[in-house]
Amino acid sequence: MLILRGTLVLSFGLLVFSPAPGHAQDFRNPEQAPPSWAQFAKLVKYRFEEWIAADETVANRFRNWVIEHSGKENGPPPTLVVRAWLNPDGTVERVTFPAFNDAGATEDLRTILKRGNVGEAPPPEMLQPLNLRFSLNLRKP
Amino acid sequence: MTRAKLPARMIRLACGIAIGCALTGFTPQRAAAQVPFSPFQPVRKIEAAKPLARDVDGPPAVSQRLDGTAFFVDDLGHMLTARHAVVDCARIVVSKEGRAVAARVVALAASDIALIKVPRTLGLAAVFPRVSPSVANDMVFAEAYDRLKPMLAHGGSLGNAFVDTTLRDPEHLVLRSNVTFGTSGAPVLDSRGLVEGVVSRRTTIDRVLAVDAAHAKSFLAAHGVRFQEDDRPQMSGTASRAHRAASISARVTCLQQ
Repeated sequence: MLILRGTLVLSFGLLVFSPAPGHAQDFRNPEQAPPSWAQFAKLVKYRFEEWIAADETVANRFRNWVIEHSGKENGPPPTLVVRAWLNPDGTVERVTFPAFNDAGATEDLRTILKRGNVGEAPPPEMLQPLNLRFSLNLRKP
Repeated sequence: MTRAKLPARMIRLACGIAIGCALTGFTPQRAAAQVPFSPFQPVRKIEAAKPLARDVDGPPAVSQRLDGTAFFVDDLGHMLTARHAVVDCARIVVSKEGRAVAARVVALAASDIALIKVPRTLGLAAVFPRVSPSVANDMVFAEAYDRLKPMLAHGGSLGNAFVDTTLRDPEHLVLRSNVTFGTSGAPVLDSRGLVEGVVSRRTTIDRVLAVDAAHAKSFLAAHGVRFQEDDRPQMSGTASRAHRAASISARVTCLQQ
């Protein structure tokens, strides 16, 4: 039996915007957004972290897939931009991200990110979706 | 340890944030005494019932427990709470949303605040005011972590206390509030969602003292904690402060021998 030993690190990196002409207004830079938006986005980030790290079947399966396939041709990309829409009650209405080569892993991540309530309502004036960039790295011991 | 559980304990995640724009269609008590709020409660002594089964190498027996509230001040697991809620504890446990982790005391202040740390954060980090404090009659919110859940089930709350400036105190925020046991160490959130103080004790039936933000910030800075400061609103004007309190705070339990 293969025993996986490694640290799954989803590293931090601010999303750098280089919008194409005609898309210059497509994003609000986090530094220029109202603090209430940024705080809410931090909360969503924290919840996504917790849900991916949860010790339950789907999250365990997804993490194992990332570790087993990281760096391989059919593995996860080094970075992944997730777009998330949240309902006024704090539940996640929808998430989109580029599909993995493994349909099961794609569905697992979608299930994980839509499963809970972030705990607060999004600011009513906040533009959606939130665009969250994940960096996936495998650190071997 | 199973292969599934191994990475669960090691995961780290961070992400950049961008927010879509509308142009692309993405719019979308006692009167005389000052009463701390952390009651001691008797805990069942397991060893008394089974003296021969006592684990001499295990943790010491616990005779009392003290429940208070603490809140996160950074993303590394540092939390502020009331000093009297965590002093002289055999063990300290932080509980939030079904999880419980051991905490350690990093520092005790001369005033009634303490810095504790858990291995990693379990919530959102609080933001303190940079310059401008609350003024007289500002509505604020402060509540015990354990009382937040039923409050959230009923839609939350914008505020449950008022700043009282009729009583002068050099290092405390004086509140008109009827909060009760378990509130020690709770953050006092103003209308902007900023932490204006840390609940300490009750002085009269409806007066509560909180160590003010200036003292809390000095204490954190003295111990190298990188906390967030801002004078701009951290939440929308109509958002429930009870929900933000739930995002940043947790129950802290002091187990005493």
